[in-house]
Amino acid sequence: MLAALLLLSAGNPTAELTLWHAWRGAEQAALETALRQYAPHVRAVGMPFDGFSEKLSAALSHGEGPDLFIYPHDRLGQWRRENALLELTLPNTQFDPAALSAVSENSRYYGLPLASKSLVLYGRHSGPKLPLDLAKAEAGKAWVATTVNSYYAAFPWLASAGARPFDAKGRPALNSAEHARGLTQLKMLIDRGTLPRGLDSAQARAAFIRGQVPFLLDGPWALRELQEHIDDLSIQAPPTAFGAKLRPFATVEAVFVSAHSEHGQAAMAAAAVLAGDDVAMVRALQGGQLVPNRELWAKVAVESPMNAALAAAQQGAYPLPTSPIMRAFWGPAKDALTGVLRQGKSVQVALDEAAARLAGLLAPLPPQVGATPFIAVLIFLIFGLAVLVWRRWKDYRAPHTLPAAATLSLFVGPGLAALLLLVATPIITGLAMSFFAHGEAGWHLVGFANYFAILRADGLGVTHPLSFWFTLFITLAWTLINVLAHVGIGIGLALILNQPALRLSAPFRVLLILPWAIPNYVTALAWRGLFDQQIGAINAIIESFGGSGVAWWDQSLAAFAANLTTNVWLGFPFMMVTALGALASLPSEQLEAARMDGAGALMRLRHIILPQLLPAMIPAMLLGTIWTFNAFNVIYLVSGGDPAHSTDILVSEAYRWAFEGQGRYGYAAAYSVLIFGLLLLFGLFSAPRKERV
Amino acid sequence: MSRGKAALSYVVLVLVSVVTLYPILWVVGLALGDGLPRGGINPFPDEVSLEPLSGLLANPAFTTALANSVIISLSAAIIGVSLAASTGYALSRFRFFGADATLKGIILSQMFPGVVSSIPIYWLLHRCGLLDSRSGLILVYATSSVPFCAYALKGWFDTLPQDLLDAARLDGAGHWRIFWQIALPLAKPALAITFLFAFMGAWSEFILAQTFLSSPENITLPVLLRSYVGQFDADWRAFAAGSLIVSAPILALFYALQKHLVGGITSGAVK
Repeated sequence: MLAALLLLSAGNPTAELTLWHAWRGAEQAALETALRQYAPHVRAVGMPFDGFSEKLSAALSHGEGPDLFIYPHDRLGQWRRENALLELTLPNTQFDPAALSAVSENSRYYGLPLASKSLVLYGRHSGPKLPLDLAKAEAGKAWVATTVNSYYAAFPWLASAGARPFDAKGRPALNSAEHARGLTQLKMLIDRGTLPRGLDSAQARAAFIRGQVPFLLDGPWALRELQEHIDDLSIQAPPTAFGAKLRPFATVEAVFVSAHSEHGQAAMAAAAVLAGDDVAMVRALQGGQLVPNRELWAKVAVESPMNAALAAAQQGAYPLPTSPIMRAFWGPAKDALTGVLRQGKSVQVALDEAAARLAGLLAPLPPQVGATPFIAVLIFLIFGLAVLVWRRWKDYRAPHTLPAAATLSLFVGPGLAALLLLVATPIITGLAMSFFAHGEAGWHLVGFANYFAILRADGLGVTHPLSFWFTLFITLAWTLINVLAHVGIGIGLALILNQPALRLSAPFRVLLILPWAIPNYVTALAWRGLFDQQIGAINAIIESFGGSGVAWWDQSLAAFAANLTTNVWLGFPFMMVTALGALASLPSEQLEAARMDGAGALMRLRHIILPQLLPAMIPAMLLGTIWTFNAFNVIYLVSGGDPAHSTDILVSEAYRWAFEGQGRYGYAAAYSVLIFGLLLLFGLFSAPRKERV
Repeated sequence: MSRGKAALSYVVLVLVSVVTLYPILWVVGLALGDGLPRGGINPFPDEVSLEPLSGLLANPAFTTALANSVIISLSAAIIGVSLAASTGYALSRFRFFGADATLKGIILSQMFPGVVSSIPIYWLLHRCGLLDSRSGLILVYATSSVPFCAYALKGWFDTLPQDLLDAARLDGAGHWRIFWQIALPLAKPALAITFLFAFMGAWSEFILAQTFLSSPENITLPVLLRSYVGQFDADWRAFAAGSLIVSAPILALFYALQKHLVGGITSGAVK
């Protein structure tokens, strides 16, 4: 009896388990079907792909999160180092050795392979035949729709020239001769029109579906959507260019068991079921996945020829490395692609810059410094503060109208408690974090090293788009132009709308606040679409007037202008509404008197209206400046910092340091403190006396 | 006003309105079209279909997220404005010890960017067992709206004539009664506007929601919508259709509160 109880508590086989994944569409449906049938106690939770890895890392490092999760194998190395995974025993299934090796380290298995994914070439059976070598195709005709926006998407073309992320010794090889050759060839294919320029993945897919381009290089995850639109879809191995076959990355999506799971045994059993033949069969047939279960291959091939074609087309892909360095690799590699393919930089310069940037990202964290001086300063500061408070308290005379302490604390207690807990604490923590660095071993004190590194623009040079000073310049220009435009347009419209004789002003008042009322992540993305180089309406309008379209995200100034347009559009209604409010409260007698004296409209505007309106707008302008200075959403969603971070503002830069790439939280915190300091300075010097902080 | 001036005013207003509406019309067009990215100047698709809109409303994942967003944003706005109202009133009317410092702290807190704040808040919620729960997010949203709302409401309360409150005091009314029965009713326009701000902030926030929530029965609408448009797989039609639904309540609120909007938010500071 006791033994049975122990057994139950040790590994309750039907304990409710949570599984996180980022599958969509048919893959998600197949997973859910299979779970209902074979593992009803596992609850699948779909996560958005963007941000999934950050969310997983945050959860795992706090001992939170799911019992199991599905993720591409390339994070294995990092999670192993963080001891976030349980070691698994292989179930009685014959896995493809390549897939298996992707989830193992030193012949121990930390995940079970579920599906192999790499880019394949889609075409139409009735369509034209692919040229034997794309480099020999006639210029001017588009053959393959693909995005080359990321290193992952561009890798097949680079790899055909022999490029690999790491050299034989495992060092990053971003500026290798092979990368240079691959990038040169890729640029040649784009310049000759063989690959259409500037597509993102959705546009590439649309161009292929509409038949504008005969072939599409895309992942197996596109299969079901393509089948919906195309009856005679064909799948083949990636094409040949410059005499060599393209080699895409092969990723193995695997199920991992969190080391923090309270039901480790049950979770391991569930992982085995998920990767087992029964569930794999459902995933293959219903979800269109290429499963690594070898004994199923023949059967799947009979029931789903498309799946067999997918399997055949994925042969020879290059396994994505599991080195933790890979996480830092993507950003600089993407910058190199942007530099060459979109900004017109020379191949060698772009690659050398990217390699230097990568070296900077991989540079060791600042060394630990002794805590004693910092603790001493901290004690001194706290003591000083206490003395200050004490002296104020001594001088303080409570006015006789002040309510009793109990009443007063009812008034302000709840509000202050909430502010202290959830507003002040994070700020103080952020302040403290800026003196620390976060590495694999956790946090360690580094003193002012983060600040020095930021202010010296270590390894970058002041004019580099990623340096603090360059970003500060962009941020100041961004804020100044925006606020001036907001106030100018806002006051202008308010003056027009405020004319008493204007009958139809009411509908315009409603219409013109729409940009303020619609959530800005919707409208920012709408503007991004409008500025698209290929299909955006802005370029269509420019072209209809006989101009030529602008590649908005390829040039810093154009991208800055696009961000600016979006934010001016978003921000003018607030100022307009404020100005209307201020105009309504202006004394009308003065205006009447001026009119009687024969002052013209312009005179009245300059000498009476503006001098009274502008001071009334100051609080709104201060607020608007702070908002604009930290307008993270707009930059992040519209230009995304493109090209190569040159349109990032300080706050989006700080976000990247924290959540993209290496997780340099201390660095990001120091950025935040610097932003705070700048805004504080601004507040001190520009606020009217009574508002001064 | 001369006819020419009126005509000119209308021309300017119509032009600005076109620029204002154009991006929004694209969202509408995308929501009603076939879902493939489309070019050109005309935002409307050749064939209009209401299927994506009705499909979303029939999708349990979407309706759950919609309900969550309504519950979370309403609760956060109500709690936030309640906390801010009493705090703002006290800051405006009672010169208690630390009132100045509190007000300064409130202004300062608006200058600190929230980029790394999610890390300590994550830890706090984790400690309190409130991660992946609606109440946790309500707490975070409510408090993050308090500084702005308290500041704006303090400005409004500052404009109330002291004589009025003193008279009530002489009649024997306690502080709470004065607050409840005199100050609050007079502050209705400002309360409406701060409520709108607090609600909007919670209704459109997605970064914290995405970080703190994970279960499908808890996630909010912005998180779900963002998940429709991933890097490798984007369903723009569903995103656009969802955007229309997301925008509707805010538009309704704006419309209902528009007469308070003008003057409600800054008049305290203006006067």
